[in-house]
Amino acid sequence: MSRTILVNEAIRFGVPEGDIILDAALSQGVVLPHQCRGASCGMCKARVTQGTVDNGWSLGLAISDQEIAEGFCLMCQARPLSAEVHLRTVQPIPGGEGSAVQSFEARVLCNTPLTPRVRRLVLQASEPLRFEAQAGAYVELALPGLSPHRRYSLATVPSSTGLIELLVARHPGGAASGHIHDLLQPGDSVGVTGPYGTCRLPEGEGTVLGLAGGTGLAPVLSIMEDALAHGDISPMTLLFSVRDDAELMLMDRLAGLARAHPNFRYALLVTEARSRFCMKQQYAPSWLRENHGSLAGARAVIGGSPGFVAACSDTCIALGMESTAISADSFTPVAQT
Amino acid sequence: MPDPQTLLAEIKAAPGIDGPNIFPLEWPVETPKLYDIYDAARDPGWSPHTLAWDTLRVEDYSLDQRYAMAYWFSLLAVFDGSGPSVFARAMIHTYESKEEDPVRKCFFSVVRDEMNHEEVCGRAIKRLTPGGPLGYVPETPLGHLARNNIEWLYYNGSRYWTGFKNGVDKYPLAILFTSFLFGEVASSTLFHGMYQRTTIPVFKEAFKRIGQDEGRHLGICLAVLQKLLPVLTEEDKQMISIQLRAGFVFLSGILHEPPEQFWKLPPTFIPAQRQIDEVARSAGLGILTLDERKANWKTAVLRMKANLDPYGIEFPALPEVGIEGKEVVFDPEKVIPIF
Ligand code: FES
Repeated sequence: MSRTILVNEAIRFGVPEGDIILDAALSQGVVLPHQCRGASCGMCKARVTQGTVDNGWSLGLAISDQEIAEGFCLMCQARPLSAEVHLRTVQPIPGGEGSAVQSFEARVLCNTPLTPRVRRLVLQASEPLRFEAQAGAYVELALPGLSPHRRYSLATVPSSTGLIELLVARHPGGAASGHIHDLLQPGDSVGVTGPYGTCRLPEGEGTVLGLAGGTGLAPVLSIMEDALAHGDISPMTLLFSVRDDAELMLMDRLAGLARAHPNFRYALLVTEARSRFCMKQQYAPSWLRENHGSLAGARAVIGGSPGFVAACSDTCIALGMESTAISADSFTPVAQT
Repeated sequence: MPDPQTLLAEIKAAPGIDGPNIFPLEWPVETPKLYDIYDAARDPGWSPHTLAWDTLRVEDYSLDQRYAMAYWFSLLAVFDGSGPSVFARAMIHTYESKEEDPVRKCFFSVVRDEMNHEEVCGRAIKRLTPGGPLGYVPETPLGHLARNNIEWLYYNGSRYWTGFKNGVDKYPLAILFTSFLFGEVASSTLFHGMYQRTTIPVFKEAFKRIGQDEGRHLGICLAVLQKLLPVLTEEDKQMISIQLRAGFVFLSGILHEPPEQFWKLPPTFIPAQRQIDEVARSAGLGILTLDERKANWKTAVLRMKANLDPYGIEFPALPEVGIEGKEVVFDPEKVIPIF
């Protein structure tokens, strides 16, 4: 006999007798928040608002006895006992209801140079994140004595680990980037608010171009990585443009994606110096024209300085891409205060 | 070229293959869920070499603190460092015993994860005690004690390996997986505690990432056991009780303190380790006190027990943490659990 599950009053599916709720959902293509499937990450936690479940295995890492007593369960271990069970998830459903903006303290775990100009900043959130499926989003950092808050795109989709990864370029005279580069130490706290931003993979089925200038790589790479991780099989090319070889970064991630996904490839452009990686100095618009006779039906995600974004999107449109098929994340250094 | 029909008249059947053998190759699937977990594990989402090692400034720590932290990573490495070899050996076993394809794949992903965990241990040790774990000359008495203890730990690790090698081929999958599950329970408990407690950023990230990997391993063990536990034979159940006792004794070496039944250690070992613990704790490594470790270990073991009881597996008596149960004989030649 099958049991019926209703999640967040929106998603209904059946679970064969004796089966685990999450297993049954996934086998029917119903995506629910989860990660380890081993009762240790807590991503799949949900409150049972109606009906009863057998809680199954738990080691107490992801769910406490008290939470069980309060009616929470782990969907990756629980089996329905009543004919109908209603659940409310703690994490948002991927691609579902959207995430509310959250403000929280985060501790600096890592602040290391990737290139002479860019540092990789990893923050540990002090509370669980509700950032699921927000590739392409950005957050605001509140740094001591600096106003307004500074915006940085997420370089990875924050997962249940609560780790937030950002790429921070030093801007000449930039107070915030200077502070991050020179003063922010592991162990320091910063305020974070987010997620914001609407840069997403444009809907559609055509080829995807990711055009990234400098730290614009963060949103472009995380969007493409996220799409690939979710099984997107569209042909994807990521073009990463920098001024010289020393500015290249995250090459292992790019190479790893290309190895893991036959539909993903990347190209490097060096604009102002001789390079080990490309035959000639070239700007993204000219690369686009040289490599694509027409971009009709294609989609693009563009990240970089306003000039880079404008030049790339103008070229894409000139080559036949619909303007609605372009999503961009452009950054402008904030004036010093 | 001879006509295939003519050739066919002359063919000779290939000789039979003695098992266990990796040939003939097959790709059976009984638990598709394991493919999903394997897929999720293809990219673990982190690499030990991109952790912020440069933030670990050894000069900020006293010599004794360096020795003590390196000691703890050496102790961890007795378990985590053997992970790749243990799981690689077990992976070969799954090929030879014709386990389903996703089980073999999951073992492979665990080998890869264990490589990463072992790399963290190695990098920490080499940074804190260049030449370590053994090839350096300590400059303080505590450093000498630490190095002597490490020699004893590795001696015991070598005894474990001999037992594991002899044991792994003998046991059916259910027994292997309950043993591994015990290891995963132990490591999740340990890394969770250390992650919460450490104040050293690079280790905080490392422990968190390792804990996340271990969570996936737990998921693998549970997926396999959910299939196997309901159909155990009485003989399997008895063997599992014995293995649980063996696992408890072996894993207590890091979760609490090494009990005598397996661990052959000199009388200086435990007093030295207690002092080293104190010093590593003072450096911020996140070492729980002995009482906290014991309490966590007991909770983890009790949860393991609660999850095995419904399948009629008698839990062994574990008097060291005050758990009553079936008296089982401990055989040091048969220890197979691992992180
Ligand atoms: S998926 Fe990790 S606890 Fe359920």
